[in-house]
Amino acid sequence: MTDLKGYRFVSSKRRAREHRRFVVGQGRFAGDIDLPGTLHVALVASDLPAGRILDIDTREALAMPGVRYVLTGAELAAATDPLMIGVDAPKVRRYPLAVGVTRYCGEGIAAIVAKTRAQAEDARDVIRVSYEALPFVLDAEAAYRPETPPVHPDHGSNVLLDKSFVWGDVADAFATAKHRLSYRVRWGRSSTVPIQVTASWDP
Amino acid sequence: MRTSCADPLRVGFDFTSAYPQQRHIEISDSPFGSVRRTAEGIAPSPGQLSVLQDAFCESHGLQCGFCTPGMILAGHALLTRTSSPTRSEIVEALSGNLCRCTGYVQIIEAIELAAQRLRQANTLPFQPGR
Repeated sequence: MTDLKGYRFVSSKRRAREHRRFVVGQGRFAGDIDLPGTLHVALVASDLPAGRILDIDTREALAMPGVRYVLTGAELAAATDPLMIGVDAPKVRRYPLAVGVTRYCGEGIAAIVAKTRAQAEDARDVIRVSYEALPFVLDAEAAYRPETPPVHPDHGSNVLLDKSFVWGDVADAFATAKHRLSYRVRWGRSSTVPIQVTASWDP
Repeated sequence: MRTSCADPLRVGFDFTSAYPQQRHIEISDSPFGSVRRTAEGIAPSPGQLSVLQDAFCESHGLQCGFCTPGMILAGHALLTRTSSPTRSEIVEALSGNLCRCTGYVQIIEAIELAAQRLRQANTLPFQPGR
């Protein structure tokens, strides 16, 4: 083990410069910034793990006080490029809101833009989404089997990535290693999630 | 209208350390009214840190700092009631607050460190409503 003594930062007991403002309640976050004319967004979340979206009735929401706009996945997809998938699966297209079908409970179906957060959330509750429920699979290993319902039918399978990550001479390293371990790893789902979003539009 | 009890503080008085997702506001009711305290009111005087606030810094009981005001208030309320909380009492006291980045272990350790220092200190324990 490398000797870690004598470093200025590594393995030394130090305080973080920014802690002080946070413990006295002086931290400032994006949500604290109140730009003039700020509008707030609430999302309608999918009730189903898999379903075709038949209709999104936004009329009552649009008539509510403070509500400026209701954006659906179809409208968003028509105006934007798909999100980057990061694997070689060109027929898997994802957008910030569900387009046509929903693929998990909680997926954003529509975004309500209103003058205040409270108004946006109130309007969210009167949006009516009609679905046709579709078959779904909840277990990742079950999804591996070809007979399970495809999450992205155009892709042709539920396997998005099958890859070996090899750097250097792995075979030789194993062959000459003193000890060898073999084990099975289950990797939890993870994703980057922005927790602070405030933006102003500069056309 | 879906406003929370934090909104008047945040919007009306710019106490931005109060937010509704967490117990960031301590409310003590008495026959004479109620006192609402945010983390901004815990420090003994401007520019100073309380023993608990200092322990959070020392134990790295925070990272992004978003949940910190609520954690500080929950810890403060607990140490007001008892100077020797057990680990499970600390966990229970914090259970109304969510941390999504630091992890709870260092937050618990910060409160344990503060409790230990307060027990050793030659001062009166925290007083409620001070």
